[in-house]
Amino acid sequence: MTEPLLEVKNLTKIYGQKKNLLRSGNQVLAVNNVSFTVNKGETFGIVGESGSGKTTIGRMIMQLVNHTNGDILYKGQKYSEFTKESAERFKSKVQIIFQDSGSAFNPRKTIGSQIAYPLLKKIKDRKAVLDEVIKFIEMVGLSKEMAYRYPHELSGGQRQRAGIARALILKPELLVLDEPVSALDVSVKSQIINLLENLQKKYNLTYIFIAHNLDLVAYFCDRIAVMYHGEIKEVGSTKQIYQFPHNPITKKLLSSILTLDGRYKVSN
Amino acid sequence: MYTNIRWRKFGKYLVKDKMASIGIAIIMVTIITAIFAPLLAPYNPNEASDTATRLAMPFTSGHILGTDSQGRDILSRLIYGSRTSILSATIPVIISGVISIILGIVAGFSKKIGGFIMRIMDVLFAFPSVLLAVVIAAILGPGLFNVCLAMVIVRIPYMTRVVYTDTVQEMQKEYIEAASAFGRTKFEIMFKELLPNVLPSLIVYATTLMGVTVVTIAGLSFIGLGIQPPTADWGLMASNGKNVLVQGDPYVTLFPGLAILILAVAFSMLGDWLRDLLDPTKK
Ligand SMILES: Nc1ncnc2c1ncn2[C@@H]1O[C@H](COP(=O)(O)OP(=O)(O)OP(=O)(O)O)[C@@H](O)[C@H]1O
Ligand SMILES: [Mg+2]
Repeated sequence: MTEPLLEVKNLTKIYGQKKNLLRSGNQVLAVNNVSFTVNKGETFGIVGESGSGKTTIGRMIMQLVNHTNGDILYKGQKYSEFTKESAERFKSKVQIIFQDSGSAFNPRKTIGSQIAYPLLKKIKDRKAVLDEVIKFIEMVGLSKEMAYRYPHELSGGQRQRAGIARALILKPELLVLDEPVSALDVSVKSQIINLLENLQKKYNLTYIFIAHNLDLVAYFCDRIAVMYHGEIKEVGSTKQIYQFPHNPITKKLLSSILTLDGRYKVSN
Repeated sequence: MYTNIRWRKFGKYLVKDKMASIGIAIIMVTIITAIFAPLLAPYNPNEASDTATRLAMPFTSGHILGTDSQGRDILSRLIYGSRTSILSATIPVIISGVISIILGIVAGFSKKIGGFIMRIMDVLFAFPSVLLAVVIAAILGPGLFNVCLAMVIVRIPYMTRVVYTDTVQEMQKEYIEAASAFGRTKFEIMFKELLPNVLPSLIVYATTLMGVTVVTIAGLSFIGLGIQPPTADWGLMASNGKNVLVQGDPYVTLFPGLAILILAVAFSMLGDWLRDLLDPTKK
């Protein structure tokens, strides 16, 4: 937990186009001047209500959208200064698990083929790829028949596991988890969280965990950033955030958790 | 694992849906008739037989469906006429379908190119399609090839719009973002991710359009812009029959008219059935 894996400096994202003669200009300031660092091996939580810009930060880290202002550095190297090779290498090192497992898979392709295609780009031997896909599918707790199924033939929890298998198959270092369990039942939720914890240990992964309330975050994260309307209001260790919240937004988020079961990392 | 086609579903659906079976049977019969026309037709379609009388009633003097005003056997002309009908119904729709799927996906995928493509489509849209077909056919001159070309041009804006609307809708979904996160190129996203999701509704639409096209081309032939005499063609036959219709001889027009109607309905039955078959959430 020493060297920062990811640094985000004064990051800003404005969606939409500037107003001009032809356009009315409907710009949205989704993320406003946000800075934080994520250390190797830790779980960094980003918490905020719906629309506060959490997914947008995830998208920018994944380079799925360009940022408007500021810098993102991966292992000290600026995104804007990536060469073609370093961008390629980076792409397999940072992966994402999407918020909505129901639409994160193409409905007309089998689960297995969708887990396979990142790997098919690197390895041409189809048999080897298939073996690897089955290995990862079983590792996330699914049976190998699931590879031949279509997304709608899986439950939400099973789809989320498949999403984890897809994200892990290129052996990433950093995983962006965009509300990976918020659409799931309580019992399934804890199973997925357990799986994520085990995988973190096994592969020495760094997580960015996005959530809209402080419920699971306390248990799962080492450090937390609290977002409100595109801005980070407070960053600190889980202990600081829970025991000495400064910002009224944080206090409000805390008070909305009715049952704190005390299992969070503060206590150990 | 790498294939998406489900043949078992195909068989299951066919048994379940009687209307679809009838539609497919009609189309198959038409295709077989078209291929084996020389073997099936009892007479030469373009010449009056020696013994023929003009405007013979059905079931008289060896002509099951009677003869037309030139003494030609109507059944034989119907059999040969299936050739132009099935060809002119399917080929133009398939060609405009292929063009439209590319235009529609590219337009839906890229905002910049999309605006340009869809503005051109809007211009074509501004004209009623039948009128446009008539004008194009008139400019190009009569003949099967030119009529088909006119149909291709007329259908492209409609089919492109269907693909474009679907593509824009699919682009909102997370799997597209997932695909680019997991290393798909733009080309792959368009033709490996989007294509299988927008193709089914285009196929359904295209099948229904085939039925409409049978009628439209028959109509163009009817007003003299399509296929030229003496070729045996259903629209042309109906056109010739109109002169004797008022004299109390309806059969010359009735039989080709019915043939056009039945084939058009068969295509629309097929379209309805494909809609269910191609839906992945139905089993
Ligand atoms: N593609 C886009 N174009 C324009 N505005 C967008 C786009 N995506 C998101 N926004 C806007 O940016 C803001 C932040 O959205 P974002 O999806 O990052 O929120 P979030 O914190 O992930 O919310 P949730 O908890 O509901 O997922 C919202 O106001 C949203 O409407
Ligand atoms: Mg979100």
